[in-house]
Amino acid sequence: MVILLLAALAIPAVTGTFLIVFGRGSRAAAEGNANLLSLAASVATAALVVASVIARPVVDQPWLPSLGIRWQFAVDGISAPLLLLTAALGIAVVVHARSHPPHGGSPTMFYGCLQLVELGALATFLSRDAVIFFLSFEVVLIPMWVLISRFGDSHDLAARADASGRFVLYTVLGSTLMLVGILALVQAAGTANLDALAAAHGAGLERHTQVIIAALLLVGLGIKIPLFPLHTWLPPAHTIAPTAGSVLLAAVLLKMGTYGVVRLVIAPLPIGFGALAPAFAVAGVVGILWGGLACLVENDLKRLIAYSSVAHMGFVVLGLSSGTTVGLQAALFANVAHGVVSALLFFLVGGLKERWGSSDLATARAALREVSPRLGLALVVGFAASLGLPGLVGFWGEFLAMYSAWSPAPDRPQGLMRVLAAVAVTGTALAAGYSLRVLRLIWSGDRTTPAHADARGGEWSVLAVLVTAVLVLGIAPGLVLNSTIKDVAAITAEVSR
Amino acid sequence: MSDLLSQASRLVVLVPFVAALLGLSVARRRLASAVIACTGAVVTLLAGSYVLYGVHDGPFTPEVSTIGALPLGRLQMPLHLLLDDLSAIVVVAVAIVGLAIQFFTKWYLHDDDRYGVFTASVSLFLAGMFLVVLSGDLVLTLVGWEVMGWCSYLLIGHNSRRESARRAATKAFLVTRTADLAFVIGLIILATGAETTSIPDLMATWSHLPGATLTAAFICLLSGIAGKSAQFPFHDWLPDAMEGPTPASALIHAATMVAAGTFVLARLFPIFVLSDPARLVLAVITAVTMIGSAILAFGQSDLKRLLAYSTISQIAIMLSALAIAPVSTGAGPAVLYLMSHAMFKALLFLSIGWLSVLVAGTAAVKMSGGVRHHKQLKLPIAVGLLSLAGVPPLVGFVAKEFVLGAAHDNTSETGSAAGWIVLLAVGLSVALTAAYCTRAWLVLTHLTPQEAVTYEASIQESREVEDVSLSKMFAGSASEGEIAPDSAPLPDPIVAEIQVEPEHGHADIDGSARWSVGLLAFLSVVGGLIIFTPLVPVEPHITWWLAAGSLLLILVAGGAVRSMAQVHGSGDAADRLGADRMAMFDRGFGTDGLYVAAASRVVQLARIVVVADREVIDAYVRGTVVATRWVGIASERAHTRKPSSYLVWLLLGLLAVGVSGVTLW
Repeated sequence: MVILLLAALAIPAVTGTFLIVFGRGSRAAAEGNANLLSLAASVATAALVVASVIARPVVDQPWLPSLGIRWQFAVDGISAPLLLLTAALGIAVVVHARSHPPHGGSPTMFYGCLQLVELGALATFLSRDAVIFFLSFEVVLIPMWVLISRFGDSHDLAARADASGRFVLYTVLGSTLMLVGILALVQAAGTANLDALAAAHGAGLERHTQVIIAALLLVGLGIKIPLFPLHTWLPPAHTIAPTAGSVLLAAVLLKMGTYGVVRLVIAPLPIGFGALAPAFAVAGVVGILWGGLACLVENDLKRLIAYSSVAHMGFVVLGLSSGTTVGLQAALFANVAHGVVSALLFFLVGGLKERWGSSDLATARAALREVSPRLGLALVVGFAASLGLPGLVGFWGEFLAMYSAWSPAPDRPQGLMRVLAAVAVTGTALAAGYSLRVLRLIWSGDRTTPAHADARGGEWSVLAVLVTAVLVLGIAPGLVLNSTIKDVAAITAEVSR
Repeated sequence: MSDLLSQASRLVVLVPFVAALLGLSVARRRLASAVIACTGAVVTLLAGSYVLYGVHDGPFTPEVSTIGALPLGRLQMPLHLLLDDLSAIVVVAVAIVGLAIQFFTKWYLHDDDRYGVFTASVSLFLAGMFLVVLSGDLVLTLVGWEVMGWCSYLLIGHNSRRESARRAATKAFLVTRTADLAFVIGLIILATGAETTSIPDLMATWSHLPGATLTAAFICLLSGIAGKSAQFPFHDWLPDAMEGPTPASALIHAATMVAAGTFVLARLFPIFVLSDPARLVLAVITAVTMIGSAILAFGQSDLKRLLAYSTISQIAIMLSALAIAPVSTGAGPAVLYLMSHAMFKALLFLSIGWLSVLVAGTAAVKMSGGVRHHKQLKLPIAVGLLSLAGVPPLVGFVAKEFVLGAAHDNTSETGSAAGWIVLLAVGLSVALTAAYCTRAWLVLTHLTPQEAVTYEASIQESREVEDVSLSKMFAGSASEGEIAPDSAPLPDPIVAEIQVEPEHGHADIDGSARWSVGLLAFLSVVGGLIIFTPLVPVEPHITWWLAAGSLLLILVAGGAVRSMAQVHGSGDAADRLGADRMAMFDRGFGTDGLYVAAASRVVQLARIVVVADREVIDAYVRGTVVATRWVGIASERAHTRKPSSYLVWLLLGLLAVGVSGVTLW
């Protein structure tokens, strides 16, 4: 059983390294071969991830005994949905790239980087050791930087250099803070094992120690989420990144930040997090308004979706801050929901940008409803989910997050949290405003020129699968919530009725 | 038996939902779309009828599970349906209207290239309404509520090639969504207090906790209900929603979205009555709305918009019943009104839609004389208008008497302010409703446009005309009222234009569409008999002096409008208002401007946010780059490449080490 889990990590590691190091000289250098190899690797990885999620194997081997660091990997209810999401999107980006090949560098480098990003994300969600968690987290950064700086939008080279540099430097700053926090946590608690840390519920740690460590970790992880006001790296990175990069960035990398908050802060440092939760929640809710307002006037479609991500992650932060089972369930669901919806929207917008030559909303285009009904349908579903329409995937996380903020844990300031819930609600009206604005600008209308091709083949299958996921998870939210409840209840230690 | 009933109630929601998905997947094929939509509607009606039968047939399990409870720690979220006599009868009413609309649409949009998408949206819309009606959980109510909102966006914006339709659709969704913000908070307050979203359970908890929190929750809910039901101050989206094809208007106006608020409040009635302040708020909102919109309805130059305003007014009456009904009366009168309005309003919209196809327009001047020319429409439109006006023995009369009776009971039992406000407002609205119904009927039975031209020409030959309001309106539509009121001769081009009989180019109405209208007309006539059955929870009695009083009001108002119309060549009583005032009525007294102003405030704020994001928040990020560069330059300057300065640094360093060594020793 253990071999399943190790193989799920080994396949992307080997494929990615091979493609990057030896790919150029080999037969894989051809576009089609690199894609096929990558596709095979992603499919195999996904199959192994599914098997691991079902079988739940555990890996536990010593690595650095003097530091107490061990190779510990396992699957639990909280990581399972994120692992499946990552594995599925790992396939989706490769399939999508078949019809939209990368520009700007060798295909082997492109697919190699995709494999390494997938490796890092999977290892992050699988690791049960705080230091391994950090290392896995860092594996993602450089391949993502390559994707943005080599394969990104080449219209404005200075902007591309700025976006990629900003991405890597800003997030490395976050990593540094996170590393200091993790080392302090491991030092203070005496173990790097995440399960042991969670089980202890912060026992034996002084309040001020908890607060300091939690503050370091929250700022570090807050950059990755990204939390207002640490979000300004995200819009340029999304705008410049190639479609696959944007999708992985929004749907996987941002999730790693909130996942880290649950694993490294909420579970092991309940008192420290409790002290900082109000500030954390305020930052999240300001992000909801800030992102929503920016979207109302933003004229670059990719930037707009990046800002909407800031708003959506604000709901996740609000749920996390409430300290209740409902809140954590809401946050974990909203995390997955945003992964699905932002992946759908970035696949769509990436495809549109290729067709249009830019993602500027001010330019008059052919209405999608008239010339490309499939893209139009996917866009309507994507934005309906983005505005939190009940019955679609975006609704449950946001509604439950607002409920949890209205009735937070007893040690949270109830008055403040209720005000935050009321303010967060207005964020849903802003979301409706920008979603309908986009639909009115590009979906409806009477223009049919300049005509562009509708989605077909790989692009359409990816969009169709994501549209289906938006519907299925919206109608049956229990699929995710039932997976996470057991481990969430253990973290909150709340007596259920 | 009970199990079969549960399955039937699940089917009521599931069948239209599946029909919507299937319909969307075959949207390009007309016939397949039509078969799926109509079959879905028939099956839904059968399942709904079975639910009605089962609920009255004997003991049954009221709570029906759906997708299973969600695991949320202390919060219970069972997500079940709730069956009782209230939900069962409304399900059947909605299913009947849905069926009529699906069959009518098949004919009405027969040459529309997006018929498939439209009819699938109608199915989804109905699924949302059924979910609201059958829901036993606040969250399911919210799901159905918003699904209807989204479908209304799709249906109103159906003709998305037209800018006015796009604007109306966006406006409808944004206004209702804004109103829903408080609605969501209201639901959260109710759920928080009871730690459950199950409606029966939370009503049991809240019935022991009347007070300020409950009032706050209901005032929040009223905001959302005012939004969806187009009550003041959120009413202005509904007239614009006439941009949608007529079947969409019939659907939104008759039995579904605008009436959903009434149903939600009726569902929560046992705890709503515990909050007098919230009931007073509802009474005031509905009183303002029912009178204001009835006045606006009278002055509309477009008959479809007249119907839209009449809907707003009628929904206000429906809701006002909940504001004043004594506990003993319950939500019966409101639900009765909901059903009667569903029948006659759907009938009116479908017949006006049918007529609009024949005369190629919905403006009063286009429709003038319509039913004289197209006789098959005379009966359905007459039944619809009489029922709307509340003339006995039609269903509208019966329902209105129950509302008046409830208000009267309230004033005699408790004498609350809400009771008097509603009694007076409904009484006044009876007269106003009769006035605009009479106006519409007189317009529809007057001269047709080309007859009018011949008539006017003959008059002009004989004598100087005092008032040429019909010609004035034609001139106004062509050149914005440049022609002075007394300019007698009609410009030739306009005469030429309207002498041509508009070629509708539309297939003749088919049997099923005709039957749909007939069915609704039949129900509008005999529907009132339902009060003698156990299907609706009302006591079958009518306060006769109230009935006589309202009949008198109807006669007086109708007579006054008739005499107003007779002095006018156009036969349109509203011409007495003058063209300027009518333009004001058409603009809804400028409410739209207020919405636009509010929206532009938000956009201004958004522009500030974008600037602040770039110039304040990101300035720190860029600042680190500048700071790093300066540090680099400074440290490079320190490297002067002169041994002497390095020696100074070395000595300073030694000194520092020495000092620290001594002090820290």
